[in-house]
Amino acid sequence: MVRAPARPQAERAAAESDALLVAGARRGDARSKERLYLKHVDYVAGMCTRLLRSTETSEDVVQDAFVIAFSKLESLREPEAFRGWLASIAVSQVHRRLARQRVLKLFGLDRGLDDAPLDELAREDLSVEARSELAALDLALQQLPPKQRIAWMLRYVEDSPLDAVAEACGCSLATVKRWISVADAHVKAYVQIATEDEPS
Amino acid sequence: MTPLRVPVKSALRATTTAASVTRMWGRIEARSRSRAGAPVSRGRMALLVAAAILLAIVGLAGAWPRQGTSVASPPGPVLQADGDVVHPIRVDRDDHRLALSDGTVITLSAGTSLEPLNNSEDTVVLKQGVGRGRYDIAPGGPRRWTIECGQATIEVVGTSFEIEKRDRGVHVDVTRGVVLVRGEAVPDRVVRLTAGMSIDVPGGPLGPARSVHEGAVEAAQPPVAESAPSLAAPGAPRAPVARAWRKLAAQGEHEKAYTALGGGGIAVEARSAPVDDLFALADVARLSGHPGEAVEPLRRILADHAGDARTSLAALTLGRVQVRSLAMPDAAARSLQMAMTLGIPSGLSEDAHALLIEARSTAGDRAGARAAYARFRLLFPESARTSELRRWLVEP
Repeated sequence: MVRAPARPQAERAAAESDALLVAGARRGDARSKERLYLKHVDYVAGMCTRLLRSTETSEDVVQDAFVIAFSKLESLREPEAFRGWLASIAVSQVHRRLARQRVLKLFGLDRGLDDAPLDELAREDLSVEARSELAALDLALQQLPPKQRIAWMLRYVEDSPLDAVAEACGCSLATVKRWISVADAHVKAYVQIATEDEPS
Repeated sequence: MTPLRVPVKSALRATTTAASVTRMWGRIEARSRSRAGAPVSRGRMALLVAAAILLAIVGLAGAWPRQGTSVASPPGPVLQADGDVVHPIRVDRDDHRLALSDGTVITLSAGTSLEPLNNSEDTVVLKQGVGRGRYDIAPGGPRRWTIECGQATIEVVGTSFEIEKRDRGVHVDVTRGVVLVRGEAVPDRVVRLTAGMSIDVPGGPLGPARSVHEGAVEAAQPPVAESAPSLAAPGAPRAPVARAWRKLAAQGEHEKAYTALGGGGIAVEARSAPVDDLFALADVARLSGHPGEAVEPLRRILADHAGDARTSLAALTLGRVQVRSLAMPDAAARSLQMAMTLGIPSGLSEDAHALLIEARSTAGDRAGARAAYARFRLLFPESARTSELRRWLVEP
C-alpha cells in the first residue's frame, strides 16, 4: 500500500525546526522533505490562492515552488529561514503565472477559472458587512498593477514584514514601500480598512 | 468601527484540504524523482538551453503542455511511483492513494476496486468498481486514459476528475481538462465535459458496458426519431436540413426549427457548427421547450471557441438554463462564475450576479449565496432587485 502523508504528521512536523529538517532533506532523507512540505504547504498554498484568485492555478504554483525549493536546497544559506525563502520562490512563480495569463488572455487562450476572490474565501462566521468589504477589497486590488497588488497583499493580507515583502518581490525596501503606499491609497478609496499606521 | 482589519487573512478560511495536500505531494514526489538524472555535457546543455528557449516562446501561447506540470515518462507501461507494476486493488477501510510514475495520482475511497485492463506506452485502461475514485491525470503525457465503470466509459488526456459509481448509476465530475463520457444512457451516447461540468449516467437494465478499444474513437449515432417528421431521412445529406432550420429559427419559428432538425438533430448539427449557429441551436432548443438540448451547443462554444468575444454570453445562458430549467444549481453556479471571469457585458452583469445568488441558494450553499448577495449590493447599490433577492438568503 502506498504511504500518503497523513495530517497528524503535520502537527509533528510543526514541532521540528526548519534547520533540522533542511539538514535531513539535504542528506536525502525523504521523511525530512515530507515534513518540510507538511509544515509549510498550508501557508504557501493559502498565499498563492489569495494572490492568484484561483485554487487550480495555485496548486500548480505550489507544486512548482516546492519542486524548485527541493532541487535548490544546497543554495539556501540560512536553513532556519526556509519559509521566507520558499515564499520568495512561490511569489516569483506567481509573477510568472500572472504574466503568462496576461499573454494567454490576449489570444483568448486562458481557460482558468477565478474561483477564489477574497469574499469567496471568507470565514463562515463573517458578517455581511465584512463580506461586502472583502468583495470591495478584491475589486479594488484587481484594478492595481500586479507588482503593487502583490506587495500590498503580502503586507496586509499575508502579514509579512516589509523586508520579507521586498525579498519576495525581488526589489529594494524603498521600492516596495512606495508600491505599498500607492496601492494603499487606491484601496482606501474603496474599502474601510485600518492599516498599520492608522488607528482602527 | 471598520469591519475589516489587517491582516486580512484572519477573516479568511483555510484553502487547503487533506485531499489537496495529498494530491500535491504525490505530484511533487513524482516530479522530484524525474528531475534527478545523469549530468549533461556542455554541448548537449547548450542545445537543451536553445530548445528550452524555443519551447518557452511557443509555450507562452499555450500551444504546449503547461510548464512544470507534466512529467517526462519513460516508454512502456506506466508504473507505480515506487517502481512496482500497477496491480489490481481493492481498498478495504481507509482511502487509498495510488501515485504513478508519470505524476498521475488516483485516490480511491474505502470499498472501491480498480483493475488495470490495459497498460502500454500510449494507452491505459482501468476498470473501477462501485465507490468513489478521484483521478488527477498528469497533463502532457503520452498516454490516452480510459476508465470503464459499467454504465459509462470515461476517456481523458490529462485532466482532473472524479467518478462515483453507485448501484444505480455513475456520476462524473470534471475539475480540469476535457473528458469524454460514453454510454448507452448518455445523451447521443457520448458527451464532452470540460472543467466545472458533471453528468449523472443512470443505471438500470442496460446490458454490459461497451469497452473502447485501443486507438478507436466511436462516432456517436443520433437516435432515430419515431414520431417527429424530419426533412432528412436517415443517411440523407444534412444540407437541406441545415438550411431549413436556420431559416425557421431566423423567423422566430423555433418549434418548427426543432422539428426540422429532427430527434437528436441539435447535437448532430452542433458537432461542426460555427459559433453563430451554435447560439442559434441553443435558442431553438430553449425556445421550443427542450432546454436540456441547449447544453451541448453552449458547451461547444465554451470548449471549442474560447477566443470568441461571446463566450461569456454562452456561459451566462448555460447558467440560466441550468438553474431555471434543468434543476442543476451547482453546475449553474460554476457556469455563471465562468461567465463573470470571462467578462459579461455591463448590460447583463446585474442579471448574472442575481442568478448566481439564486443558483447558490438553490444548491444549498447559504454562505455562497450571502457572499454573492454582498457583492451584488456593492456592484449595484441602486438596484431595484436588492429587496427581492433577499429571499434567497432566508432559510427554507
